[in-house]
Amino acid sequence: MSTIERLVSSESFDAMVVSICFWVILYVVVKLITVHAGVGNLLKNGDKRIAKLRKAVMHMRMLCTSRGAKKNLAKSVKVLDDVIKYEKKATRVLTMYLFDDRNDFDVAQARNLVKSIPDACREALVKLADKQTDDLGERFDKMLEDLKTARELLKKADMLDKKKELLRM
Amino acid sequence: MMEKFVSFIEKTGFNLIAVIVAAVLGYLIIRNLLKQLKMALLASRLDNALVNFVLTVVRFLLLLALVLVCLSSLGIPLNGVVSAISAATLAVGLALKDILSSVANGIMLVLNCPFKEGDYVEIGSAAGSVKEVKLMHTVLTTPDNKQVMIPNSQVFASNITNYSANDARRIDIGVDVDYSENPEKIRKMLLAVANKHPLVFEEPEPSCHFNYSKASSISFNVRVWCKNKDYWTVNWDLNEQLTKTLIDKGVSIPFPQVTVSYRKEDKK
Repeated sequence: MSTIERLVSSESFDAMVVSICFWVILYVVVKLITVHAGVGNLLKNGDKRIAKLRKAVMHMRMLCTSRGAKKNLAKSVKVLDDVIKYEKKATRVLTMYLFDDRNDFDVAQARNLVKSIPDACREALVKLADKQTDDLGERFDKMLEDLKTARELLKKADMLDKKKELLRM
Repeated sequence: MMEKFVSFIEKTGFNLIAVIVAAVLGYLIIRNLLKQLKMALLASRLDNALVNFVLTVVRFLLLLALVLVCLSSLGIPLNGVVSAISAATLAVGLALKDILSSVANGIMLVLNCPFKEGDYVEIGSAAGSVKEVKLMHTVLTTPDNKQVMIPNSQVFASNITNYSANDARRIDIGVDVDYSENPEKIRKMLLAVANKHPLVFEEPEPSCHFNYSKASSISFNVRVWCKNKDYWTVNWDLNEQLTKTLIDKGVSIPFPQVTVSYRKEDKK
């Protein structure tokens, strides 16, 4: 029996493999949960979530400004749930970023823009329910514009962070 | 020689590798868990100072647990380690009595929440906005942008006045007029100015009382209620408007004066 064979067949080797497997599995599980929660590159994750939020707002715009808009009211309410969900996710990530970097004005502004979306959507739905559909398109355009601005602000903040990182190196 | 090396690897080497891997992965796991905890705490809208504090305590406990797990994996009996930690704690506790008292008071401060981040407070002789409650210090920023660090043991032992705790605050403004003025007329005049200010509450309504206790003047006390955030705006506005009104209406505002009278002594 060679030395390596002897070492590999020993009980302590098995114990080491079991221990390492246990820690690796635990690490992978925790990492997956962390990635799912959006913790990592916060600005990138925030941008992704705002992109999803924008999609939901666009969907809502389509439902509210189409011909049978009144009939789509129930569907629009469901989409509003998505809007609220994505807004919460995006705000949570940006709040975490601002917790560490409180003076970042761009991110704070982006967060305020994102925060205002659910209320604006609710108002739009109320208008739709009251059959005041004249300015609905404009309202949604403004929301989409705000979200676009928020994404640009996050990209700007990300660039600044990268520059700072480079200067530190 | 080779036999000795193989025997060492079999007995200790594999175990050591497992412990190193456990320590590295354990540290990374703790880091990720703390990030998630931070996000959860921030989502629950807890005060920032409390979030920082909870994170510090949890980080310490998790790292201690990891160290104990690694030591037990290395075959070091934990009973001995726990005893050693207890003895060390006792020794360190005696040596760092004041510091530990600050830490304990920091915990009590966070649990009792007499103030939160951003509140304007007066602690002992220092006053300012609360910037952060750390494990050992509370950091205040004074209105002229100085930073004051007060040990938590002192914070806990001092009287704490929190000016931001309530939504509304009362402003007391003292006004002095000459004894020759009609007090009732002046009272109505001052009340009219106080009632006119848009930021002053209608309920509780402004009040004005006077007394004759001063040597050279009748003293009026104008009391109004306003929102906490408008305190200084209302204070400065009212001070200015009250003085202007008195001057415009020709009310004489007194200054300290002494009347000296000469008496001729009878010649004896």
